[in-house]
Amino acid sequence: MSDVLVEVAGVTKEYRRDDQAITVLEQLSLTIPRGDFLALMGPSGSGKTTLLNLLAGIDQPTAGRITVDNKVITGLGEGALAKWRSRTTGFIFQLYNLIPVLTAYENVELPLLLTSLSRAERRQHVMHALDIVGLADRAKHFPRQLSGGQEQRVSIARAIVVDPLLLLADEPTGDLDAKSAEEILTLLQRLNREFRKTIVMVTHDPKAAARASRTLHLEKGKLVEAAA
Amino acid sequence: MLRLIWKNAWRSKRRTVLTIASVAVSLFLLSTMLCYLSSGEKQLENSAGSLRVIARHATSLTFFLPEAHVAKMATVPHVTSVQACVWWGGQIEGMENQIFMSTIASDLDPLETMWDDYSFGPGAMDALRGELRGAVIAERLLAKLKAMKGWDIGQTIRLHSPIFKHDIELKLVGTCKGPDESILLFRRDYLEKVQDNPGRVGYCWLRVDKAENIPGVCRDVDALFANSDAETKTETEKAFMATFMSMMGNIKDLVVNIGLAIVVTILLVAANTMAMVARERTTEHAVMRCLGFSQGAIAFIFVAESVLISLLGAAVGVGLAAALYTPGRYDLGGFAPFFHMTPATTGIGLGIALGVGIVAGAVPAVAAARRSIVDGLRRVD
Repeated sequence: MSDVLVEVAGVTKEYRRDDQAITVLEQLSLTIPRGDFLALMGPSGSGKTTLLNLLAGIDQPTAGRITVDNKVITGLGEGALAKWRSRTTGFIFQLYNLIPVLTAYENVELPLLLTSLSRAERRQHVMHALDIVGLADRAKHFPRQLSGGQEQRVSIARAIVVDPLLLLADEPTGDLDAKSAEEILTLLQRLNREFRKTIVMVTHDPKAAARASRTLHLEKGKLVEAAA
Repeated sequence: MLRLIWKNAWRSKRRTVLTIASVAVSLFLLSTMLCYLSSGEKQLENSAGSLRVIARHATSLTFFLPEAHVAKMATVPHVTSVQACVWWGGQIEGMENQIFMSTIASDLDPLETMWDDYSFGPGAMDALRGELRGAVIAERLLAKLKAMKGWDIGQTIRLHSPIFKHDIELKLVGTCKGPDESILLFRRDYLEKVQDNPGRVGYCWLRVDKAENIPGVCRDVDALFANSDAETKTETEKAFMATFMSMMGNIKDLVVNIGLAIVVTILLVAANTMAMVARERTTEHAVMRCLGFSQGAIAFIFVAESVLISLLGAAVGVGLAAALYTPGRYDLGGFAPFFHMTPATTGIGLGIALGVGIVAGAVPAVAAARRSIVDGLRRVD
């Protein structure tokens, strides 16, 4: 098994607005080893989230190639990508994006509905995930009954419940107070160190980036600095 | 997945209840119309296997035939019996628009053999033969009039007619039961007497020995009176029923068109609801696709929600119709004796609800599934 989990090779991403092409990422290359906790920083519009979306397989590059766990995901069809996402990635959003009519348990169970697991097996996985994020006792609570920090922890449980190779977090502490943000970062650090999860986190917050094992800076679609 | 669909459907309870109510009211109306149409179909269907044919004036049912035609018709090969009738159109004073009665003056003799799909109460026919003013009334009509007017067997009743100038008095001597539950039969010789023996009949029923001889009999009867003062038009019972129904105007087309308008209305209501739902859940759909739900799965969940709401509306609307329109409960004053929900009308109502649910959900579902995930996530609700 290769030590490199993600390989981004010469990726360019352009958006078209009317007749104008806007280059968001330009000839970007990087590798992410297994077990890495990478922070992506940079000003607004630098292409951080675009890169995250490309790694998650929810967007396609204009040019270049992305390989995750030795599988080239660029050029895959929508159906194949959906299946790949359900098994390989976990996504953590800034605004948690939980389904409001489902309980914490049901929200975490959602990705497992795409598997062939039995109800009992799903329950085991969900409760384990909720236990990891410290919310096993809130399984029956609806999102509106949880604090922002708790909602984000449920969102993390939903991301890890399928035991993905790659966790992608888009400003996971961006909507939280300092205390809750600390808790989330500690949790992500634990997932990285204790459970060997590879994490890519987009953030504006240097304190959050400091919890990662390394930080990359993006500016105008290019990597401009790498810090250990 | 089913739990998610159910919970999604009840996110906005007021909107869902209103949509269900709209679908329910519309489908109840549609079911009512379908009952009316199916009653007519059933009437035609009942008459399709009949060995009876009817001969009337070629110009119109409102023209009379000379009584002499009756004996001549009986000589046509394969005709086993002929019954002369007059549609008298009896009405009860003050209840003209409330009660419909098929008031018919009829020859007595071939009555029971001609109308073998009717059963006559014990002694009814003998009593009718023994009483010139006697009349036999359908059981259901009698039950209705007993409740409304206190009518009963043995009672003398007085009727007037919008067609004839004389009022008549009849004595109820017995009951009958058959496909037409609004019938009131009395003796044609009594009507002749009341009218000073004009010697005319409204139409004649002819019984044919075998079904395959019906076309030939129709042709022969009409040929017999060709170029006479009173030419005839002879047709099967089914064709006559269809003609008779069409005399009420093109109600079938009207009902069908109103039914279509109702279906379009339900579709618009359901589609509007689902379009709003799709708009509200753009981000959620993107999130679910991030989690690995395919475009097809998103579309399925969405359409299933639309179908669920539509079917709940159908359950209320069609269910209410099925509970109300039971056999024999309503007959629209005798015009629709088979006015009740059938498995077919229930199936059509549910089928329309299913179709409406699929169509109303399909367009926004496809749009939601096709929307780029990145665009969906970028959207701020």
